[in-house]
Amino acid sequence: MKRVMNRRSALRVIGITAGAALVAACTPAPQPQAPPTPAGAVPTTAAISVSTPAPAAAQPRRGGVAQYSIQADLSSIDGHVRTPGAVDSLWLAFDRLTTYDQQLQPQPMLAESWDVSSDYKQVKLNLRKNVTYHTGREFTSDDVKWNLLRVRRSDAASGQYANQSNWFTGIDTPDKYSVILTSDSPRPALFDLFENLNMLDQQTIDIEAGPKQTKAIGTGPFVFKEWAQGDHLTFERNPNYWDSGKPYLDGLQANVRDIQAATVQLEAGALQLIRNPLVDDTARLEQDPKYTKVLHPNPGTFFEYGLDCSKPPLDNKLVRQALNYALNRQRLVDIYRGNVTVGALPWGPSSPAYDQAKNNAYAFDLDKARSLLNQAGVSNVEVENIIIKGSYPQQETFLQVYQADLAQLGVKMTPKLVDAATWLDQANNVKYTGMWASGDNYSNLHPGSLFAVSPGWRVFPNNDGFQDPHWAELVAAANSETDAGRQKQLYSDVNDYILDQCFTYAVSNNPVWWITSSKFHGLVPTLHQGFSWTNAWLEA
Amino acid sequence: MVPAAPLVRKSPNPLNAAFVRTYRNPLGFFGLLILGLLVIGALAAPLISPYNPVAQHQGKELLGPSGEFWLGTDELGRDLLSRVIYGARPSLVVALMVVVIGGGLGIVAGLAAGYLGGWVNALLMRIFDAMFAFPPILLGFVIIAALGPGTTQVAYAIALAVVPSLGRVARSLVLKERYRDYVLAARCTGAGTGRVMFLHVLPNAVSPMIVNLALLMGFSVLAEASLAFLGLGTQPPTPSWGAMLNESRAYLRNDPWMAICPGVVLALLLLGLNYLADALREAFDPRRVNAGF
Repeated sequence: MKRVMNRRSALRVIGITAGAALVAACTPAPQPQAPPTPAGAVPTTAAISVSTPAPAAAQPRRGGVAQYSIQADLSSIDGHVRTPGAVDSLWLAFDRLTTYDQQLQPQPMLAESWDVSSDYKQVKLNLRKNVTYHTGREFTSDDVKWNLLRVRRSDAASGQYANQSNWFTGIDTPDKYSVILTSDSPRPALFDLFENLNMLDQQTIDIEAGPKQTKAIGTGPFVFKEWAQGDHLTFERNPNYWDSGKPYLDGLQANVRDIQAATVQLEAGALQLIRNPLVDDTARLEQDPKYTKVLHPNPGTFFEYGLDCSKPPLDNKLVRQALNYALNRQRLVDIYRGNVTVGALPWGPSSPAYDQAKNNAYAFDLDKARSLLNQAGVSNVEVENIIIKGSYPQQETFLQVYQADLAQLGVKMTPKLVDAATWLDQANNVKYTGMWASGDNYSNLHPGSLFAVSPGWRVFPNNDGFQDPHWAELVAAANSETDAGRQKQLYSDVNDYILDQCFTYAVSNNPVWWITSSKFHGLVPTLHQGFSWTNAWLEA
Repeated sequence: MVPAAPLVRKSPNPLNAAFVRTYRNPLGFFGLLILGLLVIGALAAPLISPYNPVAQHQGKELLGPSGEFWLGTDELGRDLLSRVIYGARPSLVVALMVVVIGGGLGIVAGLAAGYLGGWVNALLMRIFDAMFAFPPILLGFVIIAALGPGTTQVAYAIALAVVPSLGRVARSLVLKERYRDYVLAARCTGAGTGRVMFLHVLPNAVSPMIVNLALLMGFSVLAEASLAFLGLGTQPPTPSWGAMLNESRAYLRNDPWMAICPGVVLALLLLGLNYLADALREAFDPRRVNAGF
């Protein structure tokens, strides 16, 4: 006789199954214990791992293809368009003119040497010879000129580089291996541009296509082979790389994966490294000898809040200072389980404006915040804080901490999670109500670069509706001062001004870390927010 | 002299009888029990919650169940039990609002389409057809995109999304009743259109609609949780089960209780509502009633 399950029986079965699943799920998993952070302590770079430790006396080994994950696909494979995730994927195909070491000293890359005039108005770059693009064509001074001019085109959509390229009024190429750049004003931050501007192949770029390129040809250590949109980017070793014998890996594949799926794949051995796994998983995996955490000591990306200074009550700097004092940055360290560095100033350790003492200003103090609000004579402050949804999960969580602390002051702050287009529209046109929250770049370079590029810090117009002739003078001086002694005083003045005005205030760096298989070695942090993979290698 | 006992025994109200049958049905009793407990819990939340659901206990983040925090704490040190108790509120409020607004609009539209016919019927059916062209959840997204995220907005979105399906059901029931003798009799006595629709046709067609409304409650709870999971519903720090499930995703591996607590109560409520709908369907089923079940 045929038995048919009726609705009631089905519901019973579902109920019993759900109960059994619940019992199974309640079986406790081994709990990783993150190293406790002492109260008030803030991680410093000295305490942070820098690169993948290699086994004792191990020599890099040639060969192998490393599989790794990135969390979002690229929006473009144009090397002049800076998109999240590109630095540790697309940029493998390119070289830059120079590269900074961790002390912000320029080191040779495509430029072997350089002569900078004492007034920083002229620089002569002597290019490396016998460097070829992946097409086989030689890299010459004409390519440098073309790249510097291309980023100035509006259709190239590389606005941040355009600002810096426009520093140079003259670009001369006296021979194949020399470039002379001249500027009307001193440009002490010129190596910041060289650090970040990829040297693309002018012959394979479709100039009319703007950022919608289909090829990514450079001189870099890896040759770009394939972009399967939404899934992966593939790179192969460049056998003709100018740094003889490198890279060590035969290839790399950057896989676009949800981070939780990527973590499972890492543990299954399908991936060798994953970028920024969840902090809970990071705490678990870093205690497992099969994996290693590589935390970037100075990524150059940071997180900040901006305030609408054009309208009451935030046009009053006392109110802005009060909001800064209400920011319990130590809680963010707890949320990140120690993987973040916090501070009131935007600068990373390599920046000449970095000041550890001033960075610790605005220690969490609700009484001081309350007193400042009383002094300002304001009450019942209501603001929103717009943030791009999903881009900064820990920062979204931290906003709830900030919200609760502000509520103790009688300030109603409502986090508003919006899409990127809405955020850009509201922030760039100062249409938000009170505050914006966002990531920013260039904190580890010269202050002039941040002020030239960032909408949160530039003179005017900026995302804060902030305008002050004194700020304009300070920024102009920071962009052009070349004397080391005067620079030091100037940057100190800049920091004092930033801390006093609080039109935009830093929250923390945006940490970048990898969890790698213990068989993967040789990631080297760079100051362009990612890592160099040229020395990366895999154990057999 | 003792008055004679009435010869005709008054028959019980069929609605009351159906509810009694539902209550006596073990599945229905279980559904009512779950629903009742959660409603009482939501109403009495300030009295029974051990902590303020948004209070952050610094240094006590991600704790497992213990004597201090019975269900543990979340990533900000908030008591999960208190958040689960308070989290029932948005689910139940949305379910209630959807039943009242969506159910009300659907029933009235179906009643009008079915009874009045003609161009009213044609117009309403074409509107419903257009709305059926969109999946309900997508329709919800569009409405929330226009209104902004929030509990009330979610209720409006779901209510609007369920109107066509309820309207269709109501219309088909009214079509069955429209030509019955009692309707004709009512019209012969001079009853107006509105009176016939609402006082004669509607009560006779209401039983299957009640089953539908019970099912709709379950759908509303699930839809609210889904939208909150996607960040479109109740906004943090106000607790809601969907948002709690979303927040727990990052901690599933090491701190599973963060997902289990809201997940279990959500599943229980849905199970209870399904059992209740099942029991109501049986209670209103004329074949079972006539057979003496």
